[in-house]
Amino acid sequence: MRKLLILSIFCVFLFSSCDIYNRVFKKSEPTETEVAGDVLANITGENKEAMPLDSNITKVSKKELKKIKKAQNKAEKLARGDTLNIAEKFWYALFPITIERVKSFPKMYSEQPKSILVLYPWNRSKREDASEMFITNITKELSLKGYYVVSAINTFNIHKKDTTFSHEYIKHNQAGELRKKYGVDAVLYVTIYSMNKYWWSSSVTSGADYYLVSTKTGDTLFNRKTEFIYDTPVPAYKPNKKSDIFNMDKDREVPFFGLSYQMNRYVFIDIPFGPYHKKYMKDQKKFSHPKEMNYKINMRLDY
Amino acid sequence: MKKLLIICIIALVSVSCNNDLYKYYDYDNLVFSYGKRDIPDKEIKKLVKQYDKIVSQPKGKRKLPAPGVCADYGYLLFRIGKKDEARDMFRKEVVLYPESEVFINKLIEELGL
Repeated sequence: MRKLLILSIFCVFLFSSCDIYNRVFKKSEPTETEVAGDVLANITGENKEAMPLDSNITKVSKKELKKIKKAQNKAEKLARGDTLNIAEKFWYALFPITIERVKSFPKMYSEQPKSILVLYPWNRSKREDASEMFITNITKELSLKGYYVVSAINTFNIHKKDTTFSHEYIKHNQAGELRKKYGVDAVLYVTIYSMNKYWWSSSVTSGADYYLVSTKTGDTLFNRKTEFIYDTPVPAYKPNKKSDIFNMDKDREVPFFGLSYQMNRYVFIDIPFGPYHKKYMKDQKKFSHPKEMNYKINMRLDY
Repeated sequence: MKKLLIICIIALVSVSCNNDLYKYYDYDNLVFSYGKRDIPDKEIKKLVKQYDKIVSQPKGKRKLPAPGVCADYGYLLFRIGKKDEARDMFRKEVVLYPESEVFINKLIEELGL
């Protein structure tokens, strides 16, 4: 008797746990939607017509479905331009394809701009003084590369008088008008998307777009899209402590100014040299970085 | 051993040499402070002192003031009332960098120099 009892309990347990009950008994029970449809039909008096079966639907086995999905993924990858396989990606990650500067920025060498105006950046970040930080660092960086850059203080003065002197209002196709006003060969348009430091992290991040547009032809001579992370205990910038004028706030301003300083050094690291540099027009075969830069400076000492 | 030491010293010295075209001194701080807020005329005099150093003691490979620095200095001199010196600074900018002629002439016209 005992054995019979144990067996029967075991069978009931198996029956319910293996979903046999649902498959055998519940199949014949009407589902919620079917019941609701019947109730509505009774209330409204309308006959619920059976939906005609779509003759174009073909039932496919699991194997065939996998094949179809694989083919679709492959087609999507090709459409995105992702044509390399895993081995090739690994190889090029270790040994990247080097592109010469003359191939990356051919119009810089054909047009040979000498003077650049850094238009007041379009600041779309939450940091109010991001534009000032960028102008200060960009004018310095481009001058060190051998170009004549309209001075930063005068750029600030122009913007203070006329706040529409900004990339937010002046678009690429209006670069020719700036040539008449300021006599420059090219205009740099900058859009700052973000400049963040999260309270839980020591890293500072920033994202920006750069377009150097010719004022003669309206062509883009140099462009770069950057996302930059600076995550290291080594400060990105050492402010001058003996300055009489203004001391940057160590916690609120120095990390961001340092981020802007480091970021713009990397963005313009491979811009062709200008006319005041001794290597002017001699750097055509040098290495150039990709136009979309995602750089992270992460130097942490692991103890 | 001595030769090795000499080579190491020469290598260290050559690495430490600055290859930049210009020397900026405290330029970052000055320009950022000017752009971030409206500086009163009293503090402009401090800015003028610092710019005087950048213009009169140029270092770097070219041994000249950087592009735009003379124009900045000229504007600051104008702000403290030294119009003749400001005009001279603007002319110096055009002499050093002829590309700036259109912009500097426009600036001189606007300031009434």
